[in-house]
Amino acid sequence: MKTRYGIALDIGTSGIRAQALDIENGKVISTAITLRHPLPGANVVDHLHFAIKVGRDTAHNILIDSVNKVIKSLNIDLKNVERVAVCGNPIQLSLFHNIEIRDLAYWGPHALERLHVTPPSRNAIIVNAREIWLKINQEAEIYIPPAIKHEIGADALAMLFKSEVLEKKGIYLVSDFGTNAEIALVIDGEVYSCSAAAGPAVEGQMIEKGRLASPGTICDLEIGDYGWKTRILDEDLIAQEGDTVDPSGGKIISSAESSVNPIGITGTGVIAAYSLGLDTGIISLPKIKSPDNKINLHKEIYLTEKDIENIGKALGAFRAAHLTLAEESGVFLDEIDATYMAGASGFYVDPHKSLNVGQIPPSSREIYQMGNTSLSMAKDIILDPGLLEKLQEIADGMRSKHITLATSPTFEKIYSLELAMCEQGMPFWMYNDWLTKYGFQKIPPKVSNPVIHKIFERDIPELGEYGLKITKIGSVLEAEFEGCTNCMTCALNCPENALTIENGLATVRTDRCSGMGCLRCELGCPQKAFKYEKLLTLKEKYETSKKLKYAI
Amino acid sequence: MKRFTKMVYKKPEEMVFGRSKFPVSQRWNMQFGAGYVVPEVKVAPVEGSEGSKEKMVAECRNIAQSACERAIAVGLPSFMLEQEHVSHQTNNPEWAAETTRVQAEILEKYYEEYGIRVSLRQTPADIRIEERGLGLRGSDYDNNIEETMEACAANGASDLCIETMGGKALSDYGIARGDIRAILFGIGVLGSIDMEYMWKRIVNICKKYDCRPGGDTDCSQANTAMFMAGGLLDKDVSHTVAALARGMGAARSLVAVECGAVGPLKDCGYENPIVKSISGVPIAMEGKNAVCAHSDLMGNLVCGVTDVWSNESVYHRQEMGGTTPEVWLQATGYEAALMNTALQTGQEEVLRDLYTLTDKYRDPQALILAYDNAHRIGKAIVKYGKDPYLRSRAAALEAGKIINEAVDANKLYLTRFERDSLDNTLKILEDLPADRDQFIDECIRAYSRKVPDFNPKNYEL
Amino acid sequence: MSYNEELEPKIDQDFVAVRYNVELEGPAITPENDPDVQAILPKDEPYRSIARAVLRGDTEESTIKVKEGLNSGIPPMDIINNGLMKGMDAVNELYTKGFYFLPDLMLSGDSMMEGLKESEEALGHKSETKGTVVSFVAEGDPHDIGKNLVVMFLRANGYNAIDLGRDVPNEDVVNAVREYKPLFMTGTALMTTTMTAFPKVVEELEKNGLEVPAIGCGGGAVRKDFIESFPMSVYGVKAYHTPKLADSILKDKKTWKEIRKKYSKIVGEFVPEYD
Repeated sequence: MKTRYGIALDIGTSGIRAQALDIENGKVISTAITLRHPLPGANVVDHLHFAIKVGRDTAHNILIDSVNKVIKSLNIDLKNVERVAVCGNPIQLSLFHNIEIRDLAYWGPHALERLHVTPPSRNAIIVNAREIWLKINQEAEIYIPPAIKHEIGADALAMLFKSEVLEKKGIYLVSDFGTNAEIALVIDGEVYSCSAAAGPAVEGQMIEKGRLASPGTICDLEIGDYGWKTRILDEDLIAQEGDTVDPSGGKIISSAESSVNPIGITGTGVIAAYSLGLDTGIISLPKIKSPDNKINLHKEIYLTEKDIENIGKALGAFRAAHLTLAEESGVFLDEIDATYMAGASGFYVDPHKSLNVGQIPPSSREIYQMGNTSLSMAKDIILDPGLLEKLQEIADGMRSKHITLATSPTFEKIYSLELAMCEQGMPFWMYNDWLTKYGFQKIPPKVSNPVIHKIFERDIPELGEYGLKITKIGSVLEAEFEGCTNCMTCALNCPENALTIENGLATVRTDRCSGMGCLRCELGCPQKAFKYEKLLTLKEKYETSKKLKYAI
Repeated sequence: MKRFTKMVYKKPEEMVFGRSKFPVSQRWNMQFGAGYVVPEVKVAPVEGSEGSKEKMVAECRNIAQSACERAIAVGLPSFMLEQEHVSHQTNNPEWAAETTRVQAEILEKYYEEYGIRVSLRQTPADIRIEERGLGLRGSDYDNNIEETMEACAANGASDLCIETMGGKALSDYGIARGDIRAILFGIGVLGSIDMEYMWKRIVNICKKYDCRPGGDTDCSQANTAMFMAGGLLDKDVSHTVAALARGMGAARSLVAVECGAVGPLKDCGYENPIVKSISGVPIAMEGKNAVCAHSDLMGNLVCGVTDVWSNESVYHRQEMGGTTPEVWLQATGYEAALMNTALQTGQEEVLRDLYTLTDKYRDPQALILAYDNAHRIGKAIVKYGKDPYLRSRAAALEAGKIINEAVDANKLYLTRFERDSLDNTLKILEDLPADRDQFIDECIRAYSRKVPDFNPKNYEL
Repeated sequence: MSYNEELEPKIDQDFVAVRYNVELEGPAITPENDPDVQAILPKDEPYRSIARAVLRGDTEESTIKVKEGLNSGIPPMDIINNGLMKGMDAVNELYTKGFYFLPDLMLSGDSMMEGLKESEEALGHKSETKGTVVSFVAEGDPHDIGKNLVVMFLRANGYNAIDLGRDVPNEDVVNAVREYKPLFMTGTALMTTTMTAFPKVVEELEKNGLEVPAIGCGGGAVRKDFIESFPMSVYGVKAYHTPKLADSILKDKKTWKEIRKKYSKIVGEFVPEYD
């Protein structure tokens, strides 16, 4: 008897994750992931920007090409795939579905009018594999869950759905922790949502020595004897004990046994450093009290005062978002019964440190680290397609209680206080005083022993009998530049080693390139010959062509 | 119930250590506030002794024995032994009966043999739990307290004290958040109500025996604020707000005297100078010789007008110089001896002033307890004497005024945090309603949901 | 109290009780008693009361006192210059000293603006200011906290800041330049997709033969190398730098090229992005 397969897909800013399921018994067969997103860019807004520049169709094709590679890595008979469920934020899903994306880039009504852009409906929908150009059974059904507003989409729905708080009585905070942190306050099943554009610092970007989680990155820190003990990700992305260093000078106090050579620090590592720094007093906002004004974590790995400011502002966005949600919904932060942390960043960060620095409310007495809820929900849809309708109902019910922080006067007032604290060093007691002056609630006292529930060891718990495959993806952009003197400045400036150039012919790997948010290649060219735009006229392979057959 | 609306001490300079307007006499030739200061020692039974009645009784016997021996060894003319109960003693009235009896026996023995003036103070623990279900009134815990009180009085206690904790849930909530309204509600209103409930009973019990109703303290509330305020560099709780809480505590501790307590008021009550100025009863205080138990910023100042000088509490164990009852009784004994020398040579006012000036400008909490400032706060309290809410509020406002005057006169300097928190707090206090019922309504509405342990029914509200 | 008068004055607290917290941080002085503020506040009424109301961020009080002053015949320009602006000068002084923070500035700014509104009504026209600055948020971008802070700092420093709002079409920016001929312009953007508006704005201005001495561009996603890749622009780092940049154009006639070179010197502090 042929096995009936389903594929669950999670398309996130930092990569694609897929799992193959046996529809009959619901078991996971295999898992495949990529370490980066195929489009150039360090965050989802960069992806969007690139997609707009290069054209929606082309961006869609690059994405689908990578999705197809990932699906192939699942090692199953693709003719027997009956269902595919996908999850991700509205930008990723729109690219997947190849629908209008410009409304996500330009939020203002003026811009949309000028460009004659009509925001499309992003309700739940079922399409066929052939519409998406997926290289599987062409009759397979693709389930695309709904978005709520352009800021909050299927991935936020996933975290709400999987936390099961929509059916419970009580007050719950459910939060994602990525660049665009979606945060929801659920009160007896009623959802108040918002999206705190915390900024890439939370993922380790915009931090000088910050990196996305990869082998060799410092992911956590603890107070050790006379210094800070580092924890570093190894080749399998498992955290290992690293050296103990003295943060004020970088001197290595004691070496770990199997030292993985550290190359950078992740977002969770930055939060750990910030937390330890505040506790030990080496960080006295906005200054770092060390001889070189840096927090030294290893040779060549450090945090500067600018980095501290950036992470301070990012965490301030979280805290201001929590307060705004609480004020708007009329509850007190210490009435929250439990806090749910979703996503990879929320899974790998140490919740004690998150609590210490305000990434979750200090009164969070019960904390659940949920892991990857997007993939989980996609699997649920595979096994019960009727779920799609239920999700649409939930999405419809949520629309009226979304708070756009960018236009909220409450958020603006509170965020200004955050800025005063991290840029000027306004003391915390004054921050609380101002909250009272504004008629808002104060920050509640820190709870001393929060109960932490971490249900799984990895953020994707079951890998299936075929295990995990890391898929290499990436397309190549090429362009020729007249006037190039072969000085190699562009290639040397590239922070991700994505660019090679020879006699004016530049080759860029899209999966490494940071895209529109970087442009160091163009901006640094002494001859002004390098124009990033030229790379965007891609080779024929990626242009929309109805003549191309994606035969299995 | 008769409330104080007039000051017993008309002028602050009438107040001095060792003397009170209404001295108290007890058996074993003991007098308080009658012209000499009595040292006190209090020792907590060693951990593990609560395992059985026998162990507990042995502990209490040893403590009493050691203290008496050392008193004789160094020549102390008098001393008070206080036993603060651990919960096991109060939960089991038979235990309390036995421990009290053995201690009384020992004290009596030494009194008879050496003529040393002695006093045995028993302080049952307030073991009631303020949770919604269990209740502060009529619960098993409450009944146990009553029985234990009776047991102690019947078995030789010279006086009875307790540290009532009614209102603590609210004041804790307020202290952690800097919410002065919650603090005022917790101390001034709820605290006062619970004090009345507790002390009417104690006074009635004492009437039946040769036992005095001693006094209470605002340890559970104002002392919590003081501990959380910490040292000079600590910033969790503002010292100026803690000073205001202390003023409120006096208004509340006064209720014990209004119910019939005669003193000496219990040692943890740093607010006692204020209560003494109003009621004229003798008081016990603790400070520099209580460092075994906690740190404070007025270690000498509190000697100013005290009648009993205490070490607060210490674990029963061995120090280099002896066991802790011995060591700490000797410490308090010497200080009392100094005060008594001053009394005998007519230099008591000089010494009182020197004690006061040592700490008067060390911290706002010390400033308001200087005897002249304590007297001012006393006057503010009796002005609204009939209403516990208004008089607590008045006490806090007067304390604030005292601090501001000192700052304006450049005698005391405040940090920005202390300044701002004081200003904000005073403003909130001033804007509170002048009507007690309105205030209570507002608070019940505001805090019933936020403070899970608070149940208005516990206070008949 | 005899002991207070006799014994107390003899005590040198350095030998009795040292308040280390006060030693460390310095004693709290009410803003008005700060010596530098004392030097700035006017001595005469109603200017003194108006300035103090602004200093305390008391909008009710500033409006009342301004109205009183206007009713008693004082010329509106005097109210503005000798009352309101002196108050803001004192606020700026305390902000520079680290005594006042952003929210204090915002509150005082509000009370100053209310008083200004009243005075300008009486005046019948806008008051004379140091100069006009146009501030906008890039087309398509809804985030305006940055711009609001910039506008507040400009107004607190005597500039007439025209706030075009958020999501401003490039066309409207160009029209504003045509109308107001500002001495400086500020643009903010929080997203990489919206900051592309800035070079387009410069292009449009050039096409229409218009010019602004400098356009300060800043915001979360904005980077210095991007901003410096087209003319007329200067990468703005902190909102509170804005008045100094405007001052350098007003007083020293600096061009955008010169500002790019001397940014740190102009704003008077070390700016890592420019060094």
